Amino acid sequence: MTTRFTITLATTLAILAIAAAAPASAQDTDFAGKTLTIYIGIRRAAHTT
Amino acid sequence: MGRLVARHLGRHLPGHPIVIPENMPGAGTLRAANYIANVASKNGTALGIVSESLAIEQALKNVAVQYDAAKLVWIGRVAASNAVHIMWHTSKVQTIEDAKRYEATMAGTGPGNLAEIIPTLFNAVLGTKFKIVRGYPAANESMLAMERGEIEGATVNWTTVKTAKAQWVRENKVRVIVQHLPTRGPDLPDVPALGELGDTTEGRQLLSLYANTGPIGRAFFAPPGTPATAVKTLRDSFIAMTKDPEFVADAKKINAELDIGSGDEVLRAVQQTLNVPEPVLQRAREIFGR
Repeated sequence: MTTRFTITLATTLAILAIAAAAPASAQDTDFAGKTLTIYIGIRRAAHTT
Repeated sequence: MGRLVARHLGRHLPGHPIVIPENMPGAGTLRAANYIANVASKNGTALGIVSESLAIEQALKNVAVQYDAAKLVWIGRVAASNAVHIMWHTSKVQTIEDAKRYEATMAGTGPGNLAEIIPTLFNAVLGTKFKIVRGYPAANESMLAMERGEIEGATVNWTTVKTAKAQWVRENKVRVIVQHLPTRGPDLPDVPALGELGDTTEGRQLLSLYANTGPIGRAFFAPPGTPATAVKTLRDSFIAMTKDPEFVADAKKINAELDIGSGDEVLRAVQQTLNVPEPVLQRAREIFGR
């Protein structure tokens, strides 16, 4: 039981450490789980740019 | 175009994000530009598309402008703006030279729209005698009014004429007298471009200022300060999307004529607009009463 807990904890910490160490550029280029919004400027209700 | 890109861009971005289009009315599309420049997230998850005249509005010191178009991060363009000046076949005005001799009525769709800006500019710079008849909501109503004989000419999108009024083109019901581009487009090699008109240096610079709206066209941009790595990914994915047959087919379905441009190409057109000498901009402000 203790061994399994230790392995799980170690794995979780390792994943967190890898995520924290990931360069900002990797986060910038991976859009997984993100939502991108395209704001469309419109002149009036019936016309979209 | 915003919705077209929203339907396809996510497939080409790493991680396949959800892409949501959001309409943002106000200030002739400038409110959206202000929002993206100053409020929207700078992490690569916000893009915008607004009027192709956003750089001109900045150059003319429109008080509604709260952005620097040269600092917006230009991702790419899906279509050039290809407005043309058309005249009905029964009008005495069938060339820009005719318009210097005879009066001709043009459909006006609002003081901030090219349909009113360009004829006003022609009158001031070239000495033409266009008379703007205001009150037409948009290009479709203008073309209908031209067919009914209410007015003689209109400024409309060439793609719209080619697709929605193909019969007019086939039967020579209309004549295109100017195309609003810096140089002649491949479709209309015999029609003068806005960028080649004008008898004086100032006149040419004034007309070129508006000709540059063509290459800006339907372009997408991210907020200033978006990380360079995210910008590269967005630009690469954008170009990949434009080569996707599904995207091309979808564009065809909505009669969108694609004319893909890189972010750098759009930025150059923006910079050219902003670099026009101050006396020329001052003259433009006088012409438009600003």
